[in-house]
Amino acid sequence: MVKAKKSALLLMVLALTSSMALAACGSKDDDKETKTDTTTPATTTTDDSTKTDDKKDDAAGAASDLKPYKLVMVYPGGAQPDEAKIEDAMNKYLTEKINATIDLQPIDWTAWEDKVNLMIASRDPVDIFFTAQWTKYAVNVAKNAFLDLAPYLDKYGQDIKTELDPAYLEGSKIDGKNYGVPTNKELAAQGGIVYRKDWADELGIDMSAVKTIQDLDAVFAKVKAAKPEVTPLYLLKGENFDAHYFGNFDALGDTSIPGIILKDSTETTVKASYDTQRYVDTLKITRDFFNKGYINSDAATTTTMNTDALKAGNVFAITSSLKPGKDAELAASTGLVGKLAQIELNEKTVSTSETSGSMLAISTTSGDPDRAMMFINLLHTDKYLNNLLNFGIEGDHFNRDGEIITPTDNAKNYSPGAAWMFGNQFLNYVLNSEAPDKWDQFKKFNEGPKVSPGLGFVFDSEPVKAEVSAIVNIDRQYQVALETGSVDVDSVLAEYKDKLIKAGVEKVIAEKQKQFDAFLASK
Amino acid sequence: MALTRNLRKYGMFYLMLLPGFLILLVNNYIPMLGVVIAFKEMTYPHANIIMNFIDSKWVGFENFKYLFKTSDAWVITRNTLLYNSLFIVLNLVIPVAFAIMLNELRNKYLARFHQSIIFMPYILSWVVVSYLVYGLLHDKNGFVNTTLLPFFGIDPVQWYFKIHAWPFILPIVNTVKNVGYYMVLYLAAIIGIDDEYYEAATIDGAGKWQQILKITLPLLMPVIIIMTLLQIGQIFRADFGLFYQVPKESGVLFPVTNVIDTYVYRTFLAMGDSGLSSAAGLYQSTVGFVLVFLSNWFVRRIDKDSALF
Repeated sequence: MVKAKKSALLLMVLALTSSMALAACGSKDDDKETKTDTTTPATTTTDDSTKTDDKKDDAAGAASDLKPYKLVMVYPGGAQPDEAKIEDAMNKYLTEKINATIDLQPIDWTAWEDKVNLMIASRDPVDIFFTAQWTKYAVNVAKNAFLDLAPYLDKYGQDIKTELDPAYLEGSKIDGKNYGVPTNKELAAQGGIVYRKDWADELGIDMSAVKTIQDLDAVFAKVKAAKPEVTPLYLLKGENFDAHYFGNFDALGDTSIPGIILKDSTETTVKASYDTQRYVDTLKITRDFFNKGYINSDAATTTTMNTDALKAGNVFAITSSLKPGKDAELAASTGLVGKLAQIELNEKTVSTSETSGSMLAISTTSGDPDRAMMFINLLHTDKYLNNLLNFGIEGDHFNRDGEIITPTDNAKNYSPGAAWMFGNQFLNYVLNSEAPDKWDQFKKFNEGPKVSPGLGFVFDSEPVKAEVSAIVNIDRQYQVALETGSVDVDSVLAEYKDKLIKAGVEKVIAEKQKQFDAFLASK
Repeated sequence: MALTRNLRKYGMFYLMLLPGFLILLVNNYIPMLGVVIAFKEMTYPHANIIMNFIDSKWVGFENFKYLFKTSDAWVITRNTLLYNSLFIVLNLVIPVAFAIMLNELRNKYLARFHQSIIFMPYILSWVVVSYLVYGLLHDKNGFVNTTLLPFFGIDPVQWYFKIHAWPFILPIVNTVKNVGYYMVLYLAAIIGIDDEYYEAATIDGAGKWQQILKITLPLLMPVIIIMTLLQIGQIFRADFGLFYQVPKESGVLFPVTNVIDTYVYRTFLAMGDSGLSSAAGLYQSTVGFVLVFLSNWFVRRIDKDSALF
């Protein structure tokens, strides 16, 4: 009896102390919250007053009015050995311009989605996130992870508004609001392969005859016979013939949610991928290639990105989303200059995945969103800063002759190959290995693509959350194995379909169709 | 009055208790308030996590639905329970056997050496272990396929697609990794047994085997029971590293490698929804809690002194 009383007492003390500790935490954080709230307008007003003159040449004056601030930018990509050097150079320049410094935080491609989800859920203090339609843009917006950019664009992003094709900001809206600043780059999309031109020439393979995936059969057979140590085709999760960029599949939002239409058709019926003829046919061809030994046998489990595999030097071809000069761009970042070429294997299209295919968003955890927008604005307009971030330091990582740059030996220590992520690609210098008229080619490429019926629409998965959560697990079980050709298509696809239906895929597709129809009707 | 006397008498002990108590409070009790997340749809309008808590919408049991929605619910529950039951048995029998054998080794240097070698895998992270296994089982370059199987004249096997092999591979890997830890634990208990028992037994003419059966094992029983009870409490929690890292995310293997933890983790990665993950965590904890009470009740019926509480 006494014992019971004692432990009850202990329990109460415990509950009391923990609630007190918590209350203390809470109030402290509240203080912080209100403090930042009050300071933000203050800095805003000072900026506004100096804004007119800072616009022209008195940038230093404006910068000194701002408190020093460290911006954290998170984006996908491998860590570069010379990252600290670039940060130093950027810091020097940014301190002058906007009195800010920068912390670049690249995250490995294969860990990207996982890490970003964790960072957002744990409220890491990040200022700028790279985001895109294909990497949970809509989901993160729904979670309030990103700020509505309208006020910031008006204040500090005027240059972005004038310089960027209005189609971008318009086509990347969610419920009429912009949560990310799209990169100014190619507007159209096309898929195909990038391959080792030097080997094709060496073996006398005529690549101009390749028009479809099926045509690759003969090519790969030759490569395999002549170079048995080479993997003719390197596939992995998300990088294969059934990738959305290759099959022209428009998932109308997050690509991990089932229900697709074809970008290059006018059909507006949302279908499951297993009901889409092109998807199934492509699975079968891929399986055939796998059986013939063309595809890396660890395709279903590997976490090595295809560009890294290409860099390692025993891969003949990879799948890739293409634009003019993608081969040369890739060659430069993999150290295979002059050895790569590309073949387009589908029709050029434009959909929401292009208008919002690469964006910079400001995190709701940002301590100074104004400054973050100033930085994004600089990436869109400042040639020096943009090229510094993309190619490194002049004289160290590259030498420049007008608009043309030549990588130095040290370029291998800084070649993020991420120019399409940051601001305005039309500001980039052109590498000596690329076509000198690269940007004209881009402009031409942007003309005349097929427009997906789904352009501007983004699916809201909230009403079917339970189904989607169940389906993502099933996808993880089957999708990669099927799409890399690692398992038998007929039996496994049937099983996959069966499980999806049990998990409620039809409900998800019906919901998607409903929202899509409403969107189409409102157009 | 009683309290001050108590404090004066045992003050030093309370002080010694304090760090452990604080750690328990900070790491185990305060986070318990997070169970509310399981009933909320988390959004992040504020930079401050507590405000996000308060502002998020209540959704009742909505977050628990997906756990039972899928046809995999049965598979992941079965896998979790079966593997963990097997692990409990393996983590008991093999380490106890090893501990007894090591204790009987005459050469103490050799005993130390073996002990260290056996303990070594325990300090490796699962990521490292997963690559060691990958090195063994890779279909083109793995040791098993390039050296071992050809030696016996067997064709190479695509291990990461071989569904039937993994119910064996996983327990083997788990045992190799964990045997050292439990062995040291049991060894410590064995060393603590008074030598006089053995001397008396030797005088009475008991052999080694009889000494083990009649003295070592019975005296080891309380430790064994506590360890087993603790593990039963965790039976609904699979060792995440083992099931997530070692099979290398091979989807084909999911029917035998998917457990509650990996299922929840994959959902979280894809959806980024902490409400769903918390719901699963709460479900696991509740079941684990009930199981501990049940098994403790069971032990108490058999042997009152060995029960945990």
